[in-house]
Amino acid sequence: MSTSAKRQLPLWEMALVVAILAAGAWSSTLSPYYLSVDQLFGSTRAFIIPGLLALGLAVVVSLGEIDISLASIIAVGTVALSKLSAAGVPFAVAAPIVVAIGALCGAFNGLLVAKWRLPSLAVTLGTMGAFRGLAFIAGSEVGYTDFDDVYLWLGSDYVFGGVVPVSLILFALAAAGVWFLMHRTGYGRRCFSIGLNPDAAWFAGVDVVGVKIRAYALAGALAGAAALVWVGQYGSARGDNADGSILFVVTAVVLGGMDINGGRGTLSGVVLALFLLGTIRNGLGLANVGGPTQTVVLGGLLVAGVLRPAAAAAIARLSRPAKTREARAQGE
Amino acid sequence: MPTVAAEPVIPAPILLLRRIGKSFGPVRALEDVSFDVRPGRVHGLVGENGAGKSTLVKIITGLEEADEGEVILAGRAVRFRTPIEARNHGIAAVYQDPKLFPHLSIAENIAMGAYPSGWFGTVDRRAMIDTAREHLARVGSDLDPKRTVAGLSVAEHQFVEIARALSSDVRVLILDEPTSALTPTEAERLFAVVRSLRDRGTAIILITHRLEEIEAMCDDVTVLRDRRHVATLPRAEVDRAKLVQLMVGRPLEALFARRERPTIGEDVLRVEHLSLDGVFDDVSFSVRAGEIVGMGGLVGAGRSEIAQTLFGITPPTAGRVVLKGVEVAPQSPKQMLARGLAYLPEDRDRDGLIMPETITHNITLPILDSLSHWTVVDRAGERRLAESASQTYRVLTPSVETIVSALSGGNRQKVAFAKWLATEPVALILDEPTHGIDIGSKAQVHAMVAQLADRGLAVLLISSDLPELLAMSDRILVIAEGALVAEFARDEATQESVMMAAARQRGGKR
Repeated sequence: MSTSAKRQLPLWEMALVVAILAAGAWSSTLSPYYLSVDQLFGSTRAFIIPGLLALGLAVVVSLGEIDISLASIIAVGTVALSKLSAAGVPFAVAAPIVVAIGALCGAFNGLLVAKWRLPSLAVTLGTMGAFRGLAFIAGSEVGYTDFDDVYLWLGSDYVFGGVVPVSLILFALAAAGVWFLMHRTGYGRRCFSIGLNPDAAWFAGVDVVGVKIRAYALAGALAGAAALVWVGQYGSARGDNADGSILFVVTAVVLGGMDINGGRGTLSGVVLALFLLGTIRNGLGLANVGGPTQTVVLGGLLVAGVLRPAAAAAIARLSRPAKTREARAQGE
Repeated sequence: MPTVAAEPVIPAPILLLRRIGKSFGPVRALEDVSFDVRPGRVHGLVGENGAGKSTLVKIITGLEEADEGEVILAGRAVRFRTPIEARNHGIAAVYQDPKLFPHLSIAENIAMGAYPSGWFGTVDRRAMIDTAREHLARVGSDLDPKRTVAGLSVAEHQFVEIARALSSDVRVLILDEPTSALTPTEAERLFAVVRSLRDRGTAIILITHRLEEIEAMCDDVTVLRDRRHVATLPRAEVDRAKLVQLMVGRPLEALFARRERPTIGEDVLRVEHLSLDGVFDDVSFSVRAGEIVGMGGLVGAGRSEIAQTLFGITPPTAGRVVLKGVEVAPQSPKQMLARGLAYLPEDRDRDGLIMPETITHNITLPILDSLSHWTVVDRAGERRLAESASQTYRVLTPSVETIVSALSGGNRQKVAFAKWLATEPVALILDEPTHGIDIGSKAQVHAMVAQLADRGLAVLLISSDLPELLAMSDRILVIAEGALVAEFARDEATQESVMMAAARQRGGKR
């Protein structure tokens, strides 16, 4: 890996911005209402829930791990919220409880992965099923819809002249927080160091187990927050909530430039990728493209995201004259 | 080169090595090695770690190609490109870590590469099993050929390996440290097999660290040192002391200037009866402030394991560690770093540094907390620290933002030093600190270590480089087979005495 590895990412982020603008331009040709402020802000609601998951997943992926159980944690969260609502617990108390339940689910994943060193894909595939099963058992067959309006506010209301969704503000705060955590604090630095070389990080005094458990707990807590938004958006809680949304989440993280093997990537890339995917999905919806086709597009983008580092390296090799390669060999 | 031996008739050599030379890039791996191997005799091949023994074996068996010289087998110059080709010509090797397929049966492993075929090209299992049983019987083993290899002991692995080697007509059998993992009883059984092969006229090359084995087994001995051929002699003409002298007998290089008399203070690191089950046992020593304690021994003796246990990588199963008068139970590197112990790992590129990261990020990783205000890393302060550390330890780099993998081995090692010393330890363990770095950086590392000790740091220096160990250490501990077997004061230690202690074989169990 050369010193240019660091310079690659801003370039990628630029490419994402260009892609967002292109997707937006294409969408605006589909509908005259596309470019209205209402529509633009409103469309962001479509990716707030997977977006919150993607922020947490980005932290987990920076460690070289994965968590595909996050969508199931949403279901645990919504069902828990429905129980609290039914019990008449005020939202201000219920909301932190749901976030804490999400964090606990995440910490359980983290414990299995970090403490017992089990492969994270297998662990979270298992808990993906287990958490959703729990949500089905705890929740009712038909789903719970008797939420008080206060419970719905976070996911359904708008502020600033009724234009900006409250959930978008929640997402912006969460994104800024996770960005700060990963790119400014010692914790973030430790995450990336584990992703690059867990042995060397351990030798350097990094508490690898603790860092991993906290990362999974954070991802779980954000899934809990996403559950609050879910209830607000859909007004219902059932065991199948957010089923199948993990593809979008993983795609956003990978397309955003997080190296799936860990150690590299930026949160700004992940946020940009979310906007890109949101725009594409919104556009496909406007163009009346069906769900299955949308899934094909998402899957294709995920593969493209995974191929990105290899493609970038190949392009660099082709476009760089031999001279620079010699310079690099001398230690740049 | 061969001189007259004690025995009346000397058979004509079957394998002749003539002026073998080999380089890996700019590194000279072997230079001008010539000797003869005769049928019906055991030829010992000895030398320190890195003397070139393994490279030589690889050349003979076709794993590596020689750049210069010839291998002559039964009168014809040969040049094998693969071990299978060598085996077809009657040369087979058994390595110290057996290379078998764990999930296949013994019979399948023995037949590997030459399955007997039955109808329609299917494997004739019955023939395969019978042949395997026959070969096992020849090495005196009654193992069931249908068993899978995975459950076998190390000694049983060795027997399967030898049986496999014998499955073709072997004229030259090479054994690379075959007893390093065996108990004395198992070793004796193995040697009984070797003797019977010898008596049937097979030429045997035995690589070993153990001087007892040379005395007990060998008819001829070849000594390699610093990748060169030093001598080939009939075993009867060399005693143990002479052998050791031949193996280590280089002059102390001027590079290893000895330290001035140090001022030595209180115990900083004290280790009492430290054990790790199955790895090392009942190790006690102490390192005082300002003192460099050397730790010598053969590769695999357990030195790195002792160091890593002290550093909390693999917690001990028994014993006490006292750091600056306070008892500590090592649990993790994080905890030991906080207590003031730092460890420079042997495998710098794997454990010591994060290669794709910048110099700055590597140096500050263990001390991020002290560089942070309210968990936020002070990036300017971090860069200042990295810059001053790079200067202190003379890292040659255009910038501290350079990726570590772009640096030379010597410069990487200096970054590693900077990293561990930034933790401001009271005791420092160095595991092969000059392994694989150029001679200039080596001298700088030595000067640095001496300076650190002079400033009052307690240093434990693990090194397989005897001249380095002798020159740097105020005291030398020798580890053999997981036990502390000798301790030498600075003035009593010689290369011979340390080597002798390191190569001694314990009679006991392991």
